[in-house]
Amino acid sequence: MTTPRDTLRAELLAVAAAVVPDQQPVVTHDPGPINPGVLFDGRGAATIARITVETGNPTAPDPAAAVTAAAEAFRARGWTATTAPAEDGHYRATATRDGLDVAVHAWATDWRITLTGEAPVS
Amino acid sequence: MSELAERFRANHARLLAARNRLHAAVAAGTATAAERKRLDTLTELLTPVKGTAIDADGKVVEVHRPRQFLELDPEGQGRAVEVLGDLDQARNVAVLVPGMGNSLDTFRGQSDRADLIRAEAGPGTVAIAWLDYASPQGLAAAASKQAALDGGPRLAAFLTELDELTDATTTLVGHSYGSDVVGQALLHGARADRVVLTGSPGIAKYVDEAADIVQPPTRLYVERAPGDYVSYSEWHGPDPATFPDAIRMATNGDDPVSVHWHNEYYRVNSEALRNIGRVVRGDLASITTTDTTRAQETKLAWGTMLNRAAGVAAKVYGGLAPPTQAARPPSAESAARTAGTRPGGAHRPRTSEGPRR
Repeated sequence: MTTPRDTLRAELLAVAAAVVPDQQPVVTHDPGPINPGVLFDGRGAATIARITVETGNPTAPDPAAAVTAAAEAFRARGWTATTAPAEDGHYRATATRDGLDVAVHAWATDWRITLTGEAPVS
Repeated sequence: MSELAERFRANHARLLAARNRLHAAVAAGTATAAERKRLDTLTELLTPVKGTAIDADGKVVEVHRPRQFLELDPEGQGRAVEVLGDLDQARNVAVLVPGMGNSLDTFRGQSDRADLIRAEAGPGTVAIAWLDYASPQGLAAAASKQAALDGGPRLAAFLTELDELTDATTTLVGHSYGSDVVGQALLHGARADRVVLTGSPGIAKYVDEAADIVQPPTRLYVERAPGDYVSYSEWHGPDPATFPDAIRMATNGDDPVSVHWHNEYYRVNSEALRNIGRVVRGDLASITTTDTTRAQETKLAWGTMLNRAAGVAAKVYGGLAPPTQAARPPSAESAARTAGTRPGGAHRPRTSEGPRR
């Protein structure tokens, strides 16, 4: 059975591949279920999974275009996505679908694009 | 080998030795359930982290490196101080201090939250998950300040050490009971460029303004979400969100991700997390603020119930750590003074914290 965590991982990889088609995206963070309230009380239940995928165009980075492309790719896959105004070289988009939340970050000072998502643990 | 690399290597060796010891106990059939759980934890802490780099052909490739522990105690409750990122290259460092109920076996979640802050603050940021104190293992223990009184000087000593390891700008981030540990560290002479407290139960009876714990140019940034009963109860002292000279950051913005209660400050895409990232990277002009009072917040749907819960909690813990001062909403004068002295100049419109959207 496909879990929300599986779905999130697949969606992040698909969108990353759509944003930079000639690069292989990398899952850099997927530690398994975590307790979202751990900073308050670590004894709580692990109810979410967080996954980060990185990609980028090292030779010609364009963070604004990358974030816009990511938002469009999410929309094309049935997500609700928005881009935020740039903040001090920080470009950002958000995407949500079926209880999944994703933040897309790109920066004027780095070639990397990171897609960080959270999914409930089923 | 640099001093830093030697520390990481030594703690890696400590982890390996502890894992091998437990592995042998499991193989011999003598391990307890707690030891088997600890074995899983140590095995996870020994799993390398992944990152990305560029190869000679300009392709993005996956790279692995061991996790970096500055401190590690695999015994008992366990302790760890993990560095996420390259401390030698850091421009900004965030030191995250978690609250009650934590141990080495919950470290995955703390490391994950530190990683979220790092992602939010951007390139050049290192996040450190600091669990080098005896985190209280229950509400009764958390009502006592003892763990914070013991942990504060340790955190202060760590920050002094960090100062010798890096020239980066340092932000202390304390959540819940961890905010008391941060406060005690500051009272013991800890130095940081910026301090963020989220969901704080207070620091001490006599600490009722930021100037009691930080001196210029260090500023205190505070978040209190609507319905945060821990902040409302003021178990350990006056709520820092009411300090007249603190910068009270908004926890909710225009996005659909809302932050309420005590455990949602670090949600992906939340204004609360974004503001923490802004502080850490020094984009202070982009910080959004609020000045809602507890009374305004508790007019929300759950307000009445929360007020009662906070009142009960205050009575339960009143004998142990009675708040000595009623919460004060920031005055117009203090708010103006805060805005006028904010580094970075611009003051974004204050955002009212509305009901869950």
